[in-house]
Amino acid sequence: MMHPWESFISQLRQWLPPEHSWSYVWGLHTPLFETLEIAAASMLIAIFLGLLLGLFIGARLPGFRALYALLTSFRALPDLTLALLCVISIGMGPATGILALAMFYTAAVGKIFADLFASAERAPVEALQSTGANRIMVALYGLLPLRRQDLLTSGGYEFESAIRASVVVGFVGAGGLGTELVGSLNQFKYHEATTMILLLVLLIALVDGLVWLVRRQPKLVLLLVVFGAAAAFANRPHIFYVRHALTTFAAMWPPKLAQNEFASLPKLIGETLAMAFGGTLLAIVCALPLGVAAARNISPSFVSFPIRRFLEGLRAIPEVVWGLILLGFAVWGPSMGVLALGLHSIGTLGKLYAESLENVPPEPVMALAATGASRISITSFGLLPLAFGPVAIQSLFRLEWNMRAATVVGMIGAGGIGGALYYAQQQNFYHPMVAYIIITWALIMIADRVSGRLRSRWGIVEIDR
Amino acid sequence: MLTVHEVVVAQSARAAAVLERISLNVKRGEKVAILGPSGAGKTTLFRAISGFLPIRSGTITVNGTTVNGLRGKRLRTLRQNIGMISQRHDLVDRLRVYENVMAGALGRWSTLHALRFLVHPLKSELEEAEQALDKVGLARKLLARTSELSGGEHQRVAIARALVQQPLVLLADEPVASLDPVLSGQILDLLCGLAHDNGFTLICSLHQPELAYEYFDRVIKMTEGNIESDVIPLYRAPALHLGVGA
Repeated sequence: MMHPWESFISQLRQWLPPEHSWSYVWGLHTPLFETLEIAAASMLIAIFLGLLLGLFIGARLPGFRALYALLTSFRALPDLTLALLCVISIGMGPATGILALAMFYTAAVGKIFADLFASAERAPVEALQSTGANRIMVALYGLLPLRRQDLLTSGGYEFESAIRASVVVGFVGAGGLGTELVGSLNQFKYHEATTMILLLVLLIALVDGLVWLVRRQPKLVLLLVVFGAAAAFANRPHIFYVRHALTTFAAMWPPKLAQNEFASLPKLIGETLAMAFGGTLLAIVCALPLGVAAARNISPSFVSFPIRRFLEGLRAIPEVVWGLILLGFAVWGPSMGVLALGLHSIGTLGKLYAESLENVPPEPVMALAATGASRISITSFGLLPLAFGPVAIQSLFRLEWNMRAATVVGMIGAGGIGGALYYAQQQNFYHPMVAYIIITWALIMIADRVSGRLRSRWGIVEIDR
Repeated sequence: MLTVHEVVVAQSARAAAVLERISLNVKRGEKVAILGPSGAGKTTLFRAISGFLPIRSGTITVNGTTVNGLRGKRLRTLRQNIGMISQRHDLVDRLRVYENVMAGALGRWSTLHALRFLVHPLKSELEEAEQALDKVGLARKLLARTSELSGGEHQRVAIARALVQQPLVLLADEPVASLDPVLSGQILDLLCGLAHDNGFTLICSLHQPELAYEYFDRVIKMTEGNIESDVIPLYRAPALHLGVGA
């Protein structure tokens, strides 16, 4: 019998080396470009609409609370679920990916921007109000310029996330690298999959660099506008099956579960929760030491530099792609879900923890250093306690995000609600499919609400405070 | 010009009252200092006059308009007549100085006008901003970035914004709280001079009694939400002032 270590090596050989023939690599430029098109077009729409919605809510125009609640609840639908619904209404192809991501990110960006505007400095805003300016003017002269830098930062972060998501929506036929990747994996061409995953890591690194440039030169956003508009126009849906979509959606109603499906619900929900909590816990445990090692104010650069690149690599690969890689290593079920969510989250949390440690106010740390304390003592008694707040909040955000991601990895074999949802869609069992979508939505809403309560207790401002 | 009658105000609906049945009358063109320690209710009084805090009981009238319960357009119209300068950093750093100054005109502009000004300011508008800045001695900073201003310059730009607003009453909430004695004297000189020249009523809250007695026609002392005394200074104390020419 083969030793597990030998089995691991033999499976690794299936993936390495990456397929590097020139004809194959050159052939990837089409799906790669398609992925970029999906990301740029959907983000252009999302940022434009999200900014308008955020300003509407930030300026507290009539109905802003209802709109905020709508954005929050819409954001609870995972992107892949939206893509599934879009496939039904406009068929396969990049237009589906653009529509699904535009909807998901409009809600996400709108909510984030609204929260940023809500936590803008009060004094300048009040000074503008006291001139008799109306709410739109206060938004134009106050909220927008006050929050410009944060808007660029979070917009950039969302764009990076949209690149990963544009690969993910490809799995249900939206085109781009995702569709290509699933094709290769289904044919057991793991060498090709490795090439595509490396390409994705490279792409995310490039986008990271671009976002860094845009933060310094905001006019470069025009690049996104031009490319995104061209991509949205080129990929506009040629046929919109309104009647087909309406009849299909009508036929899905009412949501219904058979008795056996109903009986298995607790198990499915338990698996999804286990994946979300397990993945987040795994990530926290690993990301804490890695975050300390990656923080440039704690670790020497020969340690922090490689650790940062390692974390970027983990982060660049979406949870679903980690899931597919793990399937290639014969890991499936909820344990695959935990590992897939954990690996991606280690990358994300590690980077955020490192940034939190770097952003700690220097005065208390200098006071500790002045006592002659060692680097380890300064870290344990100064940096870590001071960074506790942001670290806790980011971990909570990750748990919230992993509730969505647990559903998505469920669709590719990790089980839970996501698995049941995907099975129902594949079999055209639309009544249970809608029931599962509603349950997913409710689970994520509850997680969001609990996490929101905790965050507001820890002093993070949100519009519904 | 301003009448406050038996006013009770709290920071929120359930909180304890900060102002307890306070009354005062201020005439047109008067320069009034409000003295008191932190927590005396000076800022609360100003915020209630500008309609930022609800009035639990009593009435406030500004130039014949009752502030109580005003909302929407009527509140904005009232605010056009009440300029406000805060002790806090209340300019928008990301805007240019002329944009912050002309923000004082937002109350009389339409939304489209405000949008157009951000994209394409007219020469006449820039001249108006320059004139206001000239009055506070900062005309050279017209096109500067607001984030590059010093603390004293910052307060002067806030005053220029209030000048563009052309208010009937200017409420200055501890405008010299974070400034050194020389700068404090200069700013108060400027505020009182402008109030005199432009004919607006000036109400200014302060910590320092010597400055209050030197610059103002009338000094009101507040403690714990009440008016303790309301006097017209009989003498001014130049020896205590380290301001201009000291």
